[in-house]
Amino acid sequence: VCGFRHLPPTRVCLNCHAIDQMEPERLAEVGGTVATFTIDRLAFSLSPPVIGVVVDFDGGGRYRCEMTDADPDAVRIGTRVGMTFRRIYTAAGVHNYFWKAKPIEGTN
Amino acid sequence: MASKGIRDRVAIVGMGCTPFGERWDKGVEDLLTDATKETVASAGVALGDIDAFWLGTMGSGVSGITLSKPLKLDYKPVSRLENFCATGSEAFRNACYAVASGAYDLAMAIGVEKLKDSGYSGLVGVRPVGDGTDPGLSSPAAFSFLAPAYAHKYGVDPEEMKDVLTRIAWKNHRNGAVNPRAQFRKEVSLETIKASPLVAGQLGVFDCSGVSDGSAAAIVCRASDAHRYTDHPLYVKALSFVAGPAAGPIDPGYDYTTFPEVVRSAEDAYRQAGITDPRAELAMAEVHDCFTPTELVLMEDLGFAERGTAWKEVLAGTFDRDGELPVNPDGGLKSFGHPIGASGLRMLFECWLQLRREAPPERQIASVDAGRTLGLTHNLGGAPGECVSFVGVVGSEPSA
Repeated sequence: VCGFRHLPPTRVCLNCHAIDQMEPERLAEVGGTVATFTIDRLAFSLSPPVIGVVVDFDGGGRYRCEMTDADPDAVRIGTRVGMTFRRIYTAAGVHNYFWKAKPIEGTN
Repeated sequence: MASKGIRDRVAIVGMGCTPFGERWDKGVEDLLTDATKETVASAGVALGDIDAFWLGTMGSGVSGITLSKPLKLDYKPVSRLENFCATGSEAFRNACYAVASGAYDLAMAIGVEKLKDSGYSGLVGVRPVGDGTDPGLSSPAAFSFLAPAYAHKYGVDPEEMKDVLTRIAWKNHRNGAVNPRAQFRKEVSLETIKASPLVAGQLGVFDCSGVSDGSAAAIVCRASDAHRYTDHPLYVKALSFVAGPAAGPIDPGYDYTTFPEVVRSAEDAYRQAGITDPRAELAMAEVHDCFTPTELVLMEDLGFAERGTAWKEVLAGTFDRDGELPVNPDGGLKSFGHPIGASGLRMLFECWLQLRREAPPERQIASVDAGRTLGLTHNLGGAPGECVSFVGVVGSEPSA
């Protein structure tokens, strides 16, 4: 109702507390900016080391995820990223795909 | 804030704390028995005099039987609870409310955790299965988000930031070096801390708290009864607990340089205790230094330093054991490790020793001799932007 974007979708609005009044919005092609980051040398990833990023999307919304196809030493607050649908886990031959952030070429 | 507070209505009349560490020689039942034995002796009561029990543990047992079985309790009420890493403080808070209500005369809060038996170097705990989309960051990684955000916001050079974090670990190891109950009892040089292998972001091994086993406990009663048990009780001035809406990971308005939950619980606790200038009024603070950036940010969230200045205060030694406001004089999570259920009560145990001048001379803090009577404990669980926070204040004098 108030326009606050939630990632992932949720039922109660953080901002206005309205319940069950969300509308789906596609953010797959929307760019974002790294708000803070870490290189996690303990957590599991198919592409270690895990680069953990908090991404603020253009026009609102924040999502915390793994960054991929990136140089760990080059990540900064302010790095521009887009979203990409990638394999996150594989167990017993079953693959789990979800969203990761990827640096947008030529923006750093 | 809707909390009314129970200032000066409840008193601590006995406490105990086992040595923390790799206690291969002790099981959960041994640790609980050791802490209980010391605590009842401290209060000068028999176990059978205690009317009700609150047991805090994250993963070392479920149900009240975890306590009633080893202690052979005589059909007494035992609540078992967890609230992430603030579990020990939560056990204490509930025991205080139980005696304040008049439902019981004597209650015991006890916390325990045995982390070393899990075969995993980190915190244990059973959580519901997720949907497989979470990035699954480690705890040090989640807390390391604070470091670049803080440095970026306040213009601290990354090298300088590393020095600040290193100084916090150095200080807490130095305090733990003279504490026989601590897991790590050696000073560690700044060079060693700074050069330790990286775990997450800027955080090295020495920026992380230890992994240990331990137990600690407190016996509480209504303040009006306290002098039946001891000439030197500690009065409960404030108990505040906040569970946040976990806004950080979804709200671009959150900048990873603060714990809003801590700010709220600190404001509430200071209001309950009648504290207006914590840095000037508190004798000491025990805070949740799970990772070095946590302690840095807490100095601002708890009102010990202005926003953007805690890093300078850390370097200046403001929070050293002989500084203006000693923080973690016992060595903190850094030196004690973090047996989850026990940590909040371990913090309180240091207030018990220091405010009543029972700490050995080599580590007794000067602020108590200077007339300060209040100690703060801060315990948090979760991660930056999505946590629970406890702030408590105890004092050696009833309010005028």
